[in-house]
Amino acid sequence: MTTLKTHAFHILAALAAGDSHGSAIARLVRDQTDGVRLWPVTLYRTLDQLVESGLIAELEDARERPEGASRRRRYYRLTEAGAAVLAVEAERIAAIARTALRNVEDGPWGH
Amino acid sequence: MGTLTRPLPYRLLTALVPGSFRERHGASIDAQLRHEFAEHRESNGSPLSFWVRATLELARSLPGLWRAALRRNRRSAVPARQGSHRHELLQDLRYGVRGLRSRPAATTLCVVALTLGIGANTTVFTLANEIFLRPISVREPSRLVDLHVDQPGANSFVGFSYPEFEDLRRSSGLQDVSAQRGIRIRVGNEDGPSVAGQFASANHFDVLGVEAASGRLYVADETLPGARLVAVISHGFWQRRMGGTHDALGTTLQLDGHPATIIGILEPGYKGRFIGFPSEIWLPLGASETMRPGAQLADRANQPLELVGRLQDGVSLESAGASLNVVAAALEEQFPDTNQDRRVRLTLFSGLDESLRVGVLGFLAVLGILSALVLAAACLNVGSLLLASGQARVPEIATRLALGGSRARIAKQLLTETLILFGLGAVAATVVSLQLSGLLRAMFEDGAIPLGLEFGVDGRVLALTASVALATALATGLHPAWRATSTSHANVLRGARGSDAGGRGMRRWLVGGQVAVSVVLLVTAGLFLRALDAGRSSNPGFATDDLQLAGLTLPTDAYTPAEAALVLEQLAATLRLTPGMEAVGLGSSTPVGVASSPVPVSVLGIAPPDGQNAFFVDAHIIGPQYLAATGIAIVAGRALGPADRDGTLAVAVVSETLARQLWASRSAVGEQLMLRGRETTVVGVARDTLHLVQNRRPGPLLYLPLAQNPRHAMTLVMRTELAPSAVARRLRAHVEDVDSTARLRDVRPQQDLLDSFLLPQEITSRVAGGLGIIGLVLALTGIYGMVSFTAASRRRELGIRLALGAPPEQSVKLLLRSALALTIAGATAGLGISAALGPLLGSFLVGVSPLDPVTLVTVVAAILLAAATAAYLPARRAARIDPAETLREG
Repeated sequence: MTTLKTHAFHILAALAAGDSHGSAIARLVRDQTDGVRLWPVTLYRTLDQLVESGLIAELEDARERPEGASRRRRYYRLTEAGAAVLAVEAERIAAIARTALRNVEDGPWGH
Repeated sequence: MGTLTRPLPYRLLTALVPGSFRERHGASIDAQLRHEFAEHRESNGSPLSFWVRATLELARSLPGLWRAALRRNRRSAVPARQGSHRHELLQDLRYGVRGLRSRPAATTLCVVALTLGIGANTTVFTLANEIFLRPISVREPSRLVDLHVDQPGANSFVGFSYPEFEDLRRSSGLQDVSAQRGIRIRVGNEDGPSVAGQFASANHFDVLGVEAASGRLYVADETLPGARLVAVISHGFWQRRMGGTHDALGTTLQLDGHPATIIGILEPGYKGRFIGFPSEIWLPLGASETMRPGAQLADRANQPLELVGRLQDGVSLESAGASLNVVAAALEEQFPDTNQDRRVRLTLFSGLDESLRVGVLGFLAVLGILSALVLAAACLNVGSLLLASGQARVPEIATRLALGGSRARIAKQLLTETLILFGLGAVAATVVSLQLSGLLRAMFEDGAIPLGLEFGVDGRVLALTASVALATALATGLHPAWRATSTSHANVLRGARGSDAGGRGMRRWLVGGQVAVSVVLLVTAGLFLRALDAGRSSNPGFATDDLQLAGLTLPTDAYTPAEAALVLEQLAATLRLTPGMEAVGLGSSTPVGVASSPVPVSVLGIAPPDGQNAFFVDAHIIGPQYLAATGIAIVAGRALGPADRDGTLAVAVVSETLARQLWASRSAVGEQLMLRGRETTVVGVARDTLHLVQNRRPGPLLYLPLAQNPRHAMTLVMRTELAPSAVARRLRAHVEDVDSTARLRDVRPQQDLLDSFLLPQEITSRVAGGLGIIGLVLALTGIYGMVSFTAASRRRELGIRLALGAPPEQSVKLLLRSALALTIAGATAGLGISAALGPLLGSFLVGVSPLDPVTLVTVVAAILLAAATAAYLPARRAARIDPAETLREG
């Protein structure tokens, strides 16, 4: 399968923590990634794309929304497909990171 | 949360976002933008950087948004939407983009041409906007007035004296008057940079209506001579030089070696009262006594001040002027020495000095016309390409018409293509002109007189760019679109081709127009280049390349004028003895300067001009070595020498022009003048020189000896091979040795000042040259395209000629002849237009006639040669065709 775009990956990762809406997702991404900034248009465009490809779903039913949620906001939830794609992608990145760490430690730069 | 004002570029881009996306997410995006903006501001980010990033992000997202929207549209396409307006527009856009992409070379050429054409206009308008349209941020500028000295012989660089200012303040027509004078101030130690500043009266900020953003403004007590020195600084200076920190207030700066306490920072919008010459530091007027000790404020002959007044409520310019002149008339009565024939003239407050306004306006007009011409050339070029592409698509269009397509709809599609082209051109032009603005800013800042112009691209500039693009797109695209859809389709479908004689005629016109435009551009560029050359090689009447100047001032409280004059003469004489100095003289002004220095002169038996009590002649007070140092030759009589002292016969030297004006053919030597009540004898006649650079030709000038007209401030005129920095070092050491109370300032070569007045010529010749080359390239591609096209559509005819035994050269000649005839017609028209522009250009062209034959002949020859080459290549190819093949095709 093709790799996910970075933005999409960050959004999926944020939604893995629970259902959320646009600006909260942006905030979560920033916190989880140590400062990656999703500009609004990019954020909502990517959300649309993810909905279209079935990796996330928009919560249509008001009862499904978190308590105290604003009515005007659109809430999104990670779908099963989304969770699977996220897991594969996360594992891929983790593998790259592990290899890199090992190489650095084994090489002339290691302690 | 407050509302967020989004800048125009962002708003314009928002309009391009697909509607469906906006409906779904618009509100959320707005909310988040507000939030992010607030956070950005909290962490001290500038609004500009935020909006630049937001705008870029939006621009980058647009293609993706449209792809997604179209994908969705296709999926959910419902028959009912098919005919909708929006859908049709989308379809046209897609069709247009496809059409343009199928002809990448032509499209690129068009976009490049339009970018240059529109970009040139945007840039020139940015400049005009900056200079004429953006108001200076003062309160109620419509009630502010500039006061000018109206005295025979005085130009706009002559100002008012301090006592005169106090007198005029009392006039009833004006609420109040502010006095100020521009200076350059050295900040920090001896080699510190100098910045522009002003000595200004205490009411200056009040009259203009400018407030302090933090701290306070100075009060009347602080402007008295001897008060502790305080300074108000501009917001820009605070940001750039003081780090923008709040503890800047109360700190002490060394200004020309005097400690000054910073008490206030002005609001960011105010950069001084002149456009292009931003001021950084304001000091109380009284401080000029200690910082510029050459002349006393109380002296009515010391007239350095410019005045700005605020009209009383309901008082007109005329009646305020009349009430000021009542005061002026009283002053004339009381102080005939300084105020003879001296009146005050009022004009509405302007950020541009009078002497510059006409020049700047003309300069902008020339640039505006040139850039409009380039745009015209670009449009002609695009127009002829559109005609050609319309022709090529005749079969396709005919089929669509035959199948029942509506002509309006097809024409609209073709027009959409043109609009896309111009839209791309406009966007690229905005980017290019932002780049060009940086270049221009650097060019202006580099001049000997640095200009601080901002070249901000604001809503007005964008709106102009957009409307220029739209208007020219319609003007260019309508005709070709209509013509392409008018072909009698039956004919085309039967297989007749390429017989659109009307279209070809039209193209010839367009190409001829391009030739004409490029001739005008090249002639203009050539003329400015020649004028620049003439300006550089001419001199004001003496060699200036190794002439250095420096201001030298002695304190008025330590010396009488006579003592000061002696010390200054000694300083100059001993400086002459140091190595590297060929000659050293003293003059009251720089040999070539900008400010006139008129004195009233009367001559027994010669009546002064009508309405005046005396002749007003510019006078230079000079030391004994001045004429030798500058190299101004004496043509009759003798020069002023060390023997002309106080107590001996009062003497003067006159320039040739003055001698001619007063005594016509008679020898001036031995004639008498009345000068400020003193009988003065003319002892010599000096060669004419250009003493006011802006006048461009020598005017009457009077030389008076320093010893008989003593003063505290003079300009050292040094002929030396030393570099300016070495001269400055030498001077400082020398002044320290001879008299450490003397103050030096502005060490600089005379040539700098002359060069700065060639700056407009230089910029115009560069800009016009660049535009001329663009115009020429456009015209050549036009000729090339037209000849290829003609050759293609006359293939059969050429084939038959060849088959009948005509040599191929004959075909080449045939095609060349028609191209050259067109070029000659275009060039002739271009020469006509250039001649018509002559009077406008003439005022900028010194030493060159607007009909300069060298320029005209060179340009026409170059155009003919280039056109012949551009036509020869496709003609040669056409003549090589195989006749049998063309005949088979038929």
